[in-house]
Amino acid sequence: MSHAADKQGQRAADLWKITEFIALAVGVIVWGLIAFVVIRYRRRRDTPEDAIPSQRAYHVPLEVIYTTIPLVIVAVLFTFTTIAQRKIDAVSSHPALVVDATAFQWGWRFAYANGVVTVSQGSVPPDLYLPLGETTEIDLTATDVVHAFFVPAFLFQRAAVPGSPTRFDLTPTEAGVYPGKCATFCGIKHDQMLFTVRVVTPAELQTWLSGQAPAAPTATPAALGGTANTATTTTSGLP
Amino acid sequence: MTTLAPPPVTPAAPAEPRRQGLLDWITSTDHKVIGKSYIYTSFVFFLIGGLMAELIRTQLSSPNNTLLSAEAYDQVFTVHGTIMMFLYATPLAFGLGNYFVPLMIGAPDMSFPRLNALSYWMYLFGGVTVLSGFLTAGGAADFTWIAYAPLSNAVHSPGSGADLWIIGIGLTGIATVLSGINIITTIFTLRAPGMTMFRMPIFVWNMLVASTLAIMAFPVFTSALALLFCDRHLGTHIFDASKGGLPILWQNLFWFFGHPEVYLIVLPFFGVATQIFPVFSKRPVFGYKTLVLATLLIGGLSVGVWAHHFFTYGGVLLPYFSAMSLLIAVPTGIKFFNWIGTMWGGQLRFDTPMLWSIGFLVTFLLGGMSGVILAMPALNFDVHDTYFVVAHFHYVLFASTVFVGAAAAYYWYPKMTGRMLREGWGKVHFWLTIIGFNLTFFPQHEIGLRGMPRRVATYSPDLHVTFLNRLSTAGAYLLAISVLPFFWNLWVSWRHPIPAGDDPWGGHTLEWATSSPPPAHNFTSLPPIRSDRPVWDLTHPQ
Repeated sequence: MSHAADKQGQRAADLWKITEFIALAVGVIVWGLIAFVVIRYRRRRDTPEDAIPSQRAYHVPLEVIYTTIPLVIVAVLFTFTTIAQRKIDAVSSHPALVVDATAFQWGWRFAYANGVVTVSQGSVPPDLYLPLGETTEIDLTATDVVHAFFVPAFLFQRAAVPGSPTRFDLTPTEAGVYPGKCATFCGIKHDQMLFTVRVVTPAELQTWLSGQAPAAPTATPAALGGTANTATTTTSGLP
Repeated sequence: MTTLAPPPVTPAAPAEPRRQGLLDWITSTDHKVIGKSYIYTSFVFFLIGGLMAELIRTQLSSPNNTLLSAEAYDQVFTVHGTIMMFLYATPLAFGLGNYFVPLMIGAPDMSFPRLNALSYWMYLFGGVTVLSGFLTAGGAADFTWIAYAPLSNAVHSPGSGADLWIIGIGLTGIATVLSGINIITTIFTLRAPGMTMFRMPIFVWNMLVASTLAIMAFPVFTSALALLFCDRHLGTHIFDASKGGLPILWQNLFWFFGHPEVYLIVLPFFGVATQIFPVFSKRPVFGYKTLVLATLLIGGLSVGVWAHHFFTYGGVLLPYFSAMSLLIAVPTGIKFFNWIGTMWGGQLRFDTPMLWSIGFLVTFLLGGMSGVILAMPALNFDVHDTYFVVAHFHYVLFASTVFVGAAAAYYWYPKMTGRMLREGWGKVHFWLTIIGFNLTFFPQHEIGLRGMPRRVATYSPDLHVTFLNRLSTAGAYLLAISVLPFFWNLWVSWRHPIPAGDDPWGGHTLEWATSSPPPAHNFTSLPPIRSDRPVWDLTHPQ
């Protein structure tokens, strides 16, 4: 994965390139060594039955070297992943938009600060609108079992655990429509627990937000139904 | 201790050709009979679990397939994972340990023969209990082999199949703890005169560390299962967030067991491979002490890495668990170089045990590298719970339990039965397996990178993974076919036996110093033990 559609995911994409290079180098060396010993030291037909090869069982300097090399490699990878992960997990104190995301069996509910809500309608995935080039804070939770918010195009997922809300930021860098899904097994309709990420310009987002009817603040979650296109429908699925 | 070694003697007398009846078999406390029971039973479970894998792959051969309902699919993959982890891999490892640890250290039996029999029967009944879930109205457990709470509670998984799963897995877990205690005690107390700790075969070392992991990890899991049972039936809310419980507690308890479990599975198979490389290279183990150290390090680190199974949860201390997980690559790397060093400069014979062991090296390496990727949180966020992970752990676990499991079968079948398996059919078996395996699991890396989550019953054609899934399914069918030459091999060797003799491979360790199969108390006499390969010393006097 060498490319991501958001700023945070691009950190992972860059790390993938480094890691793939190192993995390839390690693979070439170790597979090469295996191939070398298998070919070079195979028993020949003319080897006498009682010939005994070298019985050397230790070579301490060599053993120290091949302990050190993997240690250096993982130290390098650890440094890179820790730097990348801090940037991916960093949260802004001034996000342009805040969305409360709730996962449930089997669907998603996205609530915006001004009261607009999109929620799964049966098997119709709800939309998650994000402003292009701006940072959106996602506050994620689940109502029943463990789910996971997963957008492959952002190279990112985060588990939604009942009772343990979590926060992360997304800063899309490319406008477009990206599929989102639940990654953690959550029951028989796990594979149908989809949503759609729509990255639009901030102006388009404002137009869309103001075009939606805000949900009544006192309504039960089940009455908070409303998709991008039809803000007045209701849904089943929430308790 | 060496002064106590008895003088060199002639090979042990051949076993009495007494036919064993079924009653003798099921009432036996002989470690060899129990070991064989473990091995055969785990193989039957392997075939059942494999059949389920074929169902899974058939379902995924087309997008939006409706061959299996979602309910059936979830039960099948749950029980597939459960069987392969708890009823195939773990008991196969302990079955090999049961049979060969006493032989390799020159002991007449295990320390606690009756406890040993109890362990086996608890494992068998536990396994049958799990499978009996398919006979209940709601079907078998369908909440994955990791049984994440609260999905596994009474509200979300009300069926009795789930209870049978908890009870059955609990039984096999207790069986594993008892086996672990037995093996540790046997290694510490029943070694023959001269068999110091640093002369033990590496397989015995690895069984010692695996058994230690078993007695540390399984009680935690058994406790977690008991808590889950309380949540389901006694009105507690330990894992129920709506009443103040903590779902994340299950994940922590489960993986505190679950990650050591992975190493208690792979270490015995690492040990088997370490027995095979020297014999078929005519070399000693290269870097014996660093191998022991690496095994101890893997065992030690494996209890400190559990949260890398939920890096994506937020709130996990990522740098700590990442560093610990990455560090495991170091001792594993040491083992790789030791294995290569063992072959370096030798005279390599590619008989079936060696072929399977080299196949393991080649495939396991890829699993190790994808493991390093998964240990990096920034990349883990991308591929966690996708088919990339499925590919990773099959490369790790299939390479160790099936490739080295087969290596063990070809290497030790002559010792256990006194008959040889046919080399030709063994090679057909090997090549079909390694091609089928890579065809099945290599494409799954890319399937995962394209964003297909694991455990989904269907997928959309828009994901562009249909062709890759078909490749994977074709590989799975080839794997199914690959078992047939093995069956044929067993049949031919049964009908037209070729006597194995005591030591058909030129072995190094004590199991080759007795008859094939060994007599009731294993040895009539022992060669002097002055190194980690007493039989080599006997046959190569300098």
